Amino acid sequence: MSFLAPLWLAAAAVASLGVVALHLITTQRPPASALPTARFVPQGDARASSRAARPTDLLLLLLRCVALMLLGTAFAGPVTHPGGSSLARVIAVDRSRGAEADARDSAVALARPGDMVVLFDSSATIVAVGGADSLHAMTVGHARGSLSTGLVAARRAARELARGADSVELDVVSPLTADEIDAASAGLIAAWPGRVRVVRTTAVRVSAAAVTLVSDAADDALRPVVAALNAHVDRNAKPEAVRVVRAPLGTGDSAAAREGSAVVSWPHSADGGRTTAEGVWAGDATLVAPLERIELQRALSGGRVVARWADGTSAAVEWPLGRGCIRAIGVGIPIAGDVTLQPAFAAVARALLAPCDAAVVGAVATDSLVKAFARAGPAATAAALRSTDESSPLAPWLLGAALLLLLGELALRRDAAAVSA
Amino acid sequence: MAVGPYGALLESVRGVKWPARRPVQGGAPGAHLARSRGVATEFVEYRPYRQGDDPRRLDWKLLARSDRAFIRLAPDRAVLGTLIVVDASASMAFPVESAGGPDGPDRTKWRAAREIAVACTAVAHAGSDPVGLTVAAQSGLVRLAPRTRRSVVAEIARTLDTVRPAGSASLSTVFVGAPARVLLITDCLGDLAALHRAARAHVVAGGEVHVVHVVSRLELDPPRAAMLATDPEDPSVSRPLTAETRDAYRAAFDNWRGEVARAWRDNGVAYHEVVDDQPVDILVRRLVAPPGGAGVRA
Repeated sequence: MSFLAPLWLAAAAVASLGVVALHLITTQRPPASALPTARFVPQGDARASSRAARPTDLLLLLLRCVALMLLGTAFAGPVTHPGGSSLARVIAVDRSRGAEADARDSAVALARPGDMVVLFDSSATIVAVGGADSLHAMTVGHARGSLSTGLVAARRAARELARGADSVELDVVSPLTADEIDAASAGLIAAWPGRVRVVRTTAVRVSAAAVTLVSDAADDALRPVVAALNAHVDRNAKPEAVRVVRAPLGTGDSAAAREGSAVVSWPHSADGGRTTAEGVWAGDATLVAPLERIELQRALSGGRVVARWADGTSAAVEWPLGRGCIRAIGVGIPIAGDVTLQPAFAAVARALLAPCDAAVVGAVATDSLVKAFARAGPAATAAALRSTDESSPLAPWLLGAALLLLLGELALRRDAAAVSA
Repeated sequence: MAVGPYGALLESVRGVKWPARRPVQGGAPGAHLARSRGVATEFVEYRPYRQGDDPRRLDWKLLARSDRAFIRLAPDRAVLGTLIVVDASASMAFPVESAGGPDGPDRTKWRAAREIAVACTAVAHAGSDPVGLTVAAQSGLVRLAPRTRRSVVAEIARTLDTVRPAGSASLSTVFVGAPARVLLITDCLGDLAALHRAARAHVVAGGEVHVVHVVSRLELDPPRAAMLATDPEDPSVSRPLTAETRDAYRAAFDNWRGEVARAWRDNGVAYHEVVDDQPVDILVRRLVAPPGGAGVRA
């Protein structure tokens, strides 16, 4: 048995000591005794404080102390735990697109009966029972990984484990690629109140996007940019397919998107379209050049903004479709000029023509970051993992018993007063 | 002579004499120096013969040598009637003998007063003085007239043993018709003003008054446990005696005892304060000592 708020026990003990002290120091009418020289005693209140050497009314004192201790115990929130191992583990296994099959093998080798398994990519699944079977059946998917999602689920699973274990260890089995670590990941790791073991597995090979330009114009302004992006693509590494369509999208494009390609709809600038000096931001790059704003389809609102104009409006939006995505770009490239030859344009184009979800799959996080995630020391204690709003099933019964004792104390006190009167 | 429990005490005061504080009025021959001159063999002075003097008291040899008639004078000795007055008010029963069980007090003011009275009776009786007793009890005065017979000590002891202190009693009337020496044994908690007036009148009339102020050890040093102190003679006086008021009580009691002693002595009374747990035989020896040693607070 443990307590959710053990300070209440100490408070109850202190209060009981106070009751005992007050019991000994009673303010009552002292016993009358003959003293012929009573006339020399100063006048005063007949009710005087007296300190008893031996406590009287022991039953009353006992009732008060027991009632106080019961109240303190009830407020302390006693919780019982079924018998279990003293150390439990939560194994968070990465099944995102960045992981290879060895993540599963490592997790299988690591798991033992009683462990809880959390399978995560962009979402997380807590496997409380049969974790080994789930690990054997696990396959890496195509979804982007999110370490934060896995850590949140691991924390939830650890809270469950803490009911039956003294301490809980967190094991993270993941390649820890850069795309699955976000700003919340470090905070979540820091919030874990104990040891964290990181088992780093193999990440998929870094693959750049293989961009295909679908355009009728032989002198399309994007051709040099696409050629430059494809210059370093390793075809053996199964690059992500990016299909840039300059014409309105068709069913073939949708089918390609459903198959996993990133279909980029980047229409031509209208003839005579008005170009103004604009600034556009995408990824980590910013381009300031005479550009034309092409209105994006409002019907496709709600997607992920890939690029923004300087005034904050969306310049490119991406919507998931099947295993891939559709990306609409509203940045019109002037027919004349050398905008596409500028390095800034190439950087912006790299972000605009990135695979779906802007993922650079396979790029692993730095070793220093991974080292910061792993924490030595004792495993997280069960008390530290418990939720603050966890309730004690014994508390109502203890409160009821304390109330009964207080009623008994009241009755006993009345009887004593009647007898003394 | 059946003296019951006082045997050892009487034995311890055997041979003790209680001289008068000053020459007594002439009377029956006794042990105290009288103000008159007598015919004893112990010569003091001559006085010329006057008509009516007993011729047998003439100093014939002086008459033969000087042809003048002189009477030989010798110191006269007379008895000194003594009245033992004992206060039997309720306050003298403090502390209650049964209070406290085996560990309770084994002495009370009343017991000390009885022993002092019996011992002084024996001492006075040993000097051939007539000794009487007056007990001021709630029901009135219990009197035994001054006598010199052998059984007077036992009679006084028996009388005292039959009295139980209770209520309040007035001592101021005991001096009416009292012999020359009055021994007043009291705790001085009654009407002191009237008692002082009566004692002063008795002293002025040539008598002598001894006051034995009996104080209980528990009155001097009351228990430290808080209690509601109640005057046994006046239940309306009921006050809490606690750790906070204890020092003030002791200071007030000490101050009052000092004032009482001074008032008695100012009235020419031999004042003795005794505590109930002190040995009575020593107290009696101090009490009957000549004036040079009297009045010492025990």
